[in-house]
Amino acid sequence: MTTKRPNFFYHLHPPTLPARESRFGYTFGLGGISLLLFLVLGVTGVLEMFLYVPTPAGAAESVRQITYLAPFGWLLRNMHYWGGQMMVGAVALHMARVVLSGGYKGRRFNWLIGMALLVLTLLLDFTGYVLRWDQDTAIALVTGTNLINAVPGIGPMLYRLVIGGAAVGQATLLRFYAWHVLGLVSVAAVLIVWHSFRVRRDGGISHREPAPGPASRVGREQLVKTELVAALLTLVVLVGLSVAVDAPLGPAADLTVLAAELRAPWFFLWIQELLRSAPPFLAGVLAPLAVLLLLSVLPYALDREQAGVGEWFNRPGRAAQGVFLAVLITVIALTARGLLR
Amino acid sequence: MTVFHGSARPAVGRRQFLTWLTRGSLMVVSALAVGQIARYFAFEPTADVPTAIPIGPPDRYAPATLTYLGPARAYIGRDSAGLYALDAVCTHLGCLVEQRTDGGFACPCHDSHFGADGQVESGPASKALHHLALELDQDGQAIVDRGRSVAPETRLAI
Repeated sequence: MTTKRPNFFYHLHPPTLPARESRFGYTFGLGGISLLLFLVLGVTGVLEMFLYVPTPAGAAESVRQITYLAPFGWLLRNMHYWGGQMMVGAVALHMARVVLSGGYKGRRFNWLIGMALLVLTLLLDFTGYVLRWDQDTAIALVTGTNLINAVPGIGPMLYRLVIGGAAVGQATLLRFYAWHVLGLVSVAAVLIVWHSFRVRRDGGISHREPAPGPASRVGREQLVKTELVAALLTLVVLVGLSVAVDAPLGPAADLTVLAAELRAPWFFLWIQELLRSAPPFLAGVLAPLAVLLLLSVLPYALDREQAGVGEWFNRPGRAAQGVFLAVLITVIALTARGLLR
Repeated sequence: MTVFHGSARPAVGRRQFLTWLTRGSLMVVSALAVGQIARYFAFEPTADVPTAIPIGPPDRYAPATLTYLGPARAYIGRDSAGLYALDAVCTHLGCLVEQRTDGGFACPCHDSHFGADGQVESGPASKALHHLALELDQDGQAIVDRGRSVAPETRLAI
């Protein structure tokens, strides 16, 4: 009799896993959900590329063709839009889970890879937002790139490197397109594989030290089933949102038209709020960098203990949890203020 | 030639030296490649947008008026001394400022306020709106030069 060899999805997992930490209620499947959304964004994005025209004259028109004329194009575009928004949320929640349950303990390097993936997710969202090329996104592009000019010394040089000229135009759209569809995606893909590999290399999902005696473990089939259910639920939410709520689409970008009210994309609203009251370099460059730096050093500066791994709100990690929650609440409060304006 | 006796070993052995050489040359080559990629990125394929924008004959603008002109991204004003062009691009982060009912300007992006002469009334902007150079061409058409700022009191006499 031949034994059945594990298929690809089984093969990605260790044969057995700690029972407690394999439950959905521990991870909420957030890392896997982020990965699934990344893959959905890849598929829908490639399909959009067949119709999208990355030129200032043709971009807005081609987005309308995808949305209104191509069969199921509206669903494709809505799924790409909502997939991007959900990925920002899933990544942020994944990070919160890892901090609050001490998942970073003993695997600090992977925490840094995760930080890089957070930055890439935000950059991918912003570059994609710009490709829509309507009035809102054009203004976001102008102000966002002007922040680079505020960097002392190398700012103006860096600015021309990013936008490909003296002013936002054809070269800028093409550059953002190239970064969005391949440049940033390639880096993210490599880091996602590395991030997942490091989980296995660091001893699998972060877990409590097992008590003496036989440890309670489950087979990987069980985890794969849980993951399948989480994936299906995610897709239900994604398709449901995409059917119910259309992705925004304003009038074609015209950088010479006066606009009444302008709002940054929601994940950068907190920076827009800071920019209202502080100098651009401080509010738009130093503050976001400070937040990233602070989050990066959590496992290095605030909690070097191994104890408490896998424990929600564990005592040795209280300082790290407090700083994380303070940052999170500040960002949410500023975002809410921007939304209510 | 140095001869080593007994158990004495050089501080840096041959293998160690070759390892360093390999790593060093890899680093130098990588640094050169990154530098060249940066130069590639700095290449700008399209010509810069023209900075001189024709705005029609100066007497098109009635006395004591202020008109927004999209192509020039500037407010063209006329007072007793003549014509002037006030840049609508906010000096903070580049949004286009709007005229308030009292004649001053407000930026819709981050709430900077400017007086009718372009001076900052309240932040976050720290610099006044630019006054752009205006001149006449051979046919008597007024030209705004977006690439050149002038003193706020400069006027093109009509």
